Amino acid sequence: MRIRLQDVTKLYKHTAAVNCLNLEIKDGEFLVVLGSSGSGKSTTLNMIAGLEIPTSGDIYFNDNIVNAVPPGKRDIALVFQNYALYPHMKIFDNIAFPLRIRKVKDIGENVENIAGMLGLSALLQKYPKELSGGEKQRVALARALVRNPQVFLMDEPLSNLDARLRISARGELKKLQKQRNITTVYVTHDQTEALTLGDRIVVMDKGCLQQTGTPYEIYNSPQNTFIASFIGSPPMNIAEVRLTSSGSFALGETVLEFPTPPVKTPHVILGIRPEKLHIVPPNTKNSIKCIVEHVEYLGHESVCHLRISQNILWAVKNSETTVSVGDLAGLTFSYDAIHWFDQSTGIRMDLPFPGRN
Amino acid sequence: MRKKSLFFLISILAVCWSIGPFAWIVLTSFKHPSDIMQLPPIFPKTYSLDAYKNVLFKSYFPYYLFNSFMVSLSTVLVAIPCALLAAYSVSRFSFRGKTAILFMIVVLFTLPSICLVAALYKLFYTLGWINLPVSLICTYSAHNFPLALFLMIKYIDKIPIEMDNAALIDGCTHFQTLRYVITPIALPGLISTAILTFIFCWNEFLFALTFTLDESSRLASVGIALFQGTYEIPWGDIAAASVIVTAPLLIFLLIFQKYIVQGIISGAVKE
Repeated sequence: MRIRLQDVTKLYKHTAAVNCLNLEIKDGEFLVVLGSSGSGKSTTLNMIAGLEIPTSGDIYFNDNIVNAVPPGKRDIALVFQNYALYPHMKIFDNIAFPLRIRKVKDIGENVENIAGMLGLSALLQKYPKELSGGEKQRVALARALVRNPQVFLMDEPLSNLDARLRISARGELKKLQKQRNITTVYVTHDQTEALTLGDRIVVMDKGCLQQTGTPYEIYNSPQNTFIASFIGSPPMNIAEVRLTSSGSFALGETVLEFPTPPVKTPHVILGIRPEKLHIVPPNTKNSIKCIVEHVEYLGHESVCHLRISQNILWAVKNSETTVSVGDLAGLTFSYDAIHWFDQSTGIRMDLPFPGRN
Repeated sequence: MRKKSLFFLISILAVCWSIGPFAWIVLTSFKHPSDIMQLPPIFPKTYSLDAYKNVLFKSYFPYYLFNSFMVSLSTVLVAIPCALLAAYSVSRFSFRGKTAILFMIVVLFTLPSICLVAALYKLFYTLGWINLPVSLICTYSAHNFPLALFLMIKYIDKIPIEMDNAALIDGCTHFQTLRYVITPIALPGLISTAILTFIFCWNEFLFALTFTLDESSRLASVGIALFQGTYEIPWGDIAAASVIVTAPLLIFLLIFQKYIVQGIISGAVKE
C-alpha cells in the first residue's frame, strides 16, 4: 500500500498541529517520523489512522482519498505507546477481538499462529495485568498483525520498555516488518530508533516537515541547524562565527585560517559532529584552545565536554581519552567535517572548500 | 504509630455515631411492647419476634416492599442506560451546546424536590398517573439522572482514550466500542452508580408520599411513616419494618462490594 499526504494541515483552535505536510510513503517501506513532543508527529499518525480528520489537504491510500474513511475500514493496524490492551479480556480474546468484530472465520487458528510466532502461546489464558511490559508489547503487536493489515502504524511502541528489552524488540520489529513487507509508519522521539529502524526518516518540528531522507542522509547532511542538533548523541557542536574577508574566523581565543570561502554573508553557523573532533596537546599548531570541563566515561568511548569560550561548550567523542577535568587541550578537525549553516535561516549551505576538491 | 491509633479512634467514633441509631432500631424491633417505652432504656431480658410477624403477615407492608422494589429497579433500568450513553458522549465527543446541556443538568440536580412536587402532582393528575408507578419511575429517573451522569462521566473519563482508538482501529463502530470495550471496563462504576440510584429511590419519601394515595401503590418508605395503630403508635412494628426495609440494601452492598471497592481498570495500560 502506498500512502500519500498532500498539503495536509490539522488545526486545533487556530494553532496548526500539522502544517501543510507533503509526504509519500512507498509500498513496503519502513518510514520513521521523528520529532520531539508537540512536533505534530502523533497527529500525523492519527490522521493516517483515521482517528483524526485533516482540517485541509488529502490523504491517499494508493490512489484513493481516504480522508473520511473510518479507521476500521482502512485496513490498518496501530500499536499504541501504552499498548491499549483490553483489560477485561484474556490475551486470547484481546488478539481475537479485531477478527471477531470483522466476523472472520478460523479465529482460533489465526490467533494460535500469531501467538506462536511472537512467543505468546503460554500466555493466552492470562489477563493483561498479569503480563510484563515486554509481553504486553508483544500482545499489542500480535493484535495488530493478526488480521494482516495493509499498513502498520506504530506510536512510540517501545518507549515503555526498559533499555535492554528495547534493543531486542527493535531487532524483532525490523525483522517482522521485512518478512511481511508491510508499509509501516513508526513515530518516535528517539533518534537511535529512527536511525536503526527506518528505511527513511522524516524529521518534524512544530508541525512542519524539516527533512526527509535515509538515515545516512539525515545524519551526514542535515538540512538545517534544528536537525543537526536534534540527531546524534551528543548532538552536533554548533557555533556562530564571523568569516573575515581574508578567510579566517575566531573560535574562542583561537583564530583559524583558511582560504576565503565564497559566502555572501559573513555570519555563518559552523557545525561539527563530536566524533569528528580530535583532542591534541595544547598549543598544537592550528588547534583550538580549550579547557576540559567534564568527562563522561561510557566504556567503549568517552565524551569530553570542552570549554572553548564562555558560551561555547563542545562535546568530543573519542574511543580513548588521556585528558582529565581542568586540563588545557587543543582541538583539531579536518575542514571537510564542517557543516555550514546560514545564520539567519539556519539552513544548510554546501560550500565548496579547499581541501575537499 | 500514634497517628495510626488516633485515626483508629476517630474511625470507631464515627462508626458508632452513624451505626448507633440503627442499632437502637434493631434492638427495639426485638423488644416486647412493654419494654419499648421504658425510660431509661433497658436491655430486655427476653426478646420477641411479634413485631416482625405483625409487619410481614398482618399488614400490607410486603406489598409496599414489592412496590418499592419494582419502582427502584425500573428507575435503575431507565436511568442507568441513559446515563451511560450520555456520559460516553459527553466524555468522548465534542458537540455544539455541550457545556449548555451540562449546565442545565447541574441546575436540574440542584433543584430541591419540594419545589417540583406541586407542579409534578398537577401534571400526573392531569395525565391520570396518580397511584401509578410510572409517575414515580419518571420522576426518579429524571431526578437521579444528573448524579448518575456525573458519576459515569467520571468513570469513563478515567478510561484512556487509546482504548476507544484501539477498538475503532480493530473495526468497531462507536456503539460497538461502547458495548464491547467501554462498558465492560466501566462496569464497576456502572454497578456502583446503579446501586446508588437504587438506594436513592428506595429511600425517597416526598414524591412517593405525594403521588401514591392508595395502599396498593404505596412504597415502603411511606408505608413505615403511615403505620397506624388503634390506640397508640406501634413503635415495635415501625422498628421491625425499618429493619426489613434496610436489609435488601445491606445485602446488595455485601454482594457488590467487590465492584464498589475494587476497580478492574488497573493493568490495562502502563501508568
